[in-house]
Amino acid sequence: MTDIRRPVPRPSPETTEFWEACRQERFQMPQCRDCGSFWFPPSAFCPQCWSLHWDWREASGSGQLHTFVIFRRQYHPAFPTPYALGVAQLEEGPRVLGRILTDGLDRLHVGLQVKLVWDHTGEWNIPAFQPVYDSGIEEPKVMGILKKLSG
Amino acid sequence: MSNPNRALSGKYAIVGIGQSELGQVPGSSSLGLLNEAMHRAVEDAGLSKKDVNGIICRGPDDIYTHHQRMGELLGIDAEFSTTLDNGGASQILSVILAAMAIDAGMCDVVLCGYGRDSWSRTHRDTATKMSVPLVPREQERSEFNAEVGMFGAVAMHAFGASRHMALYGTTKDQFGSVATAFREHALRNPNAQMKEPLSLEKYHQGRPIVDPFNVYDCSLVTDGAGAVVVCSAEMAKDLRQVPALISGFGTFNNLRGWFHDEHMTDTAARQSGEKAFSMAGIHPHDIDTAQLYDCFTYMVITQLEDYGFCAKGEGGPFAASGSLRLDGSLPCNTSGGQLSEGHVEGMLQIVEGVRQLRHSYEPDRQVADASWALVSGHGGNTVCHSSLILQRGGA
Repeated sequence: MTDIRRPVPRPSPETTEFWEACRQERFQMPQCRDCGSFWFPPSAFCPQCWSLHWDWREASGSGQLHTFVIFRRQYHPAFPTPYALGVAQLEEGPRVLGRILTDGLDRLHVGLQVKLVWDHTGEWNIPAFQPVYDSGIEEPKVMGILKKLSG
Repeated sequence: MSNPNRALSGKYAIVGIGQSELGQVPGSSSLGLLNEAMHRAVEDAGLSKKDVNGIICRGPDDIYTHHQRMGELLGIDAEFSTTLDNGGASQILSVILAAMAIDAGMCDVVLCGYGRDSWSRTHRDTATKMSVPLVPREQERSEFNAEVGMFGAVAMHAFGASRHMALYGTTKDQFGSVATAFREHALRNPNAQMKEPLSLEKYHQGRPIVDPFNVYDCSLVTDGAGAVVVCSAEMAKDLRQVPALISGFGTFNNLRGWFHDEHMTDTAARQSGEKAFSMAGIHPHDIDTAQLYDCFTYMVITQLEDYGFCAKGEGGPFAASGSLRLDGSLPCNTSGGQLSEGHVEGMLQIVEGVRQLRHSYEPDRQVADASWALVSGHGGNTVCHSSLILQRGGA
């Protein structure tokens, strides 16, 4: 029997609160009180300075694509192809893996501005991304990093 | 950054090599294949079972205490033995650890090896093809993974390829030049899994898997095993084979992950390679043949840069210029590599490096006058790396 149900997260004690917030469509991540850095996925202490003192902060939801791929071969019956996955660099710093929900697969590129959206699947809200041009906002012409590195 | 002890350079050697039947071996078991390869490696060295007192190995992730299972099959109680868990970086690490263990007086002769039955596991019948994951589900990340649609090593490496293309203008033609060069080598190797020529045109027609990779960018699904015997260079003098001296080694592991910093386009091969070259006291231009961990075409491109064979961003043009071919400036994966010979997690690349240094082949497969070989290993959630520099001994 083929299981077509979509895989669901199996939270750890460190991530339970994160997934609870997702249910209310809030993407929150830890920020260190001592060194100020954000990190993701959530864990018990700051991986930068090992401080135990941190707070949950809600992300602005704004980021850009560090990289992306397009699945052509179907790996799982719940994920018909083609679909895109991206690693988005959030403006707070952490990079987050997620689906890129768009009809314009051929317009994706590294450096593309994206915003966090929610992929509603049964009882879970899974963080995903959407190109900013899909929301009617003009994308910046050339990303600074690309200009610098390819020049 | 620390550097491996130069006093160990050339003090230990690979004196025996072996491999099992390779490719699609219906009904095989990973343990059985490795048993065969290890037996051959000891025979090749002109040693016998009673000489071996160390075992360092690896197999499928679902076999608990793998080295015990091998010792049981081989009938050996070891003074030093363990199983490694650095993915594709494990196999070179086993050779490094063997030298370290012998140097520390833990043992004298170490059998290193890796075996898998991946083709048999996934192709037993049509039903198994989709339902048997090579990494047991319990060992996969339980969140921030499958729920977003993330599956497998192809996509992880494709993320790196995609970014490298954006940053440096690397092209599919350049990935294709890696695949076609290694296929050409495989056609000279009667044991290779791939028997058909691969042109650049045919490469571009490959079945898409995860863009930017198609099927020809991906290494093979293989049943097979490889093994080597490591002992002191002193002891090697009395053995039958030309020793491959372990001249340099290094490891580096970007454990924070593939998504951090520029890990996917500036890999741990850089630091690992620097350590190995420093220990060996040579430079990239001294290398006669490179046996690079080619799980995907892209990984060859970035390693060429990370090891310093060319500048960052120039790996694509370097490969496309024909450098990797047997008659090129850096004959690479001369047995066909994991893309075309068979994917035995880098173990066969060590074996091939040794064969080239022994001058085992007729001219159509032999890197002329090969005296230095670089072998690389990469894996462990895409961030672990190990490097080995071998020198032809006995001159």
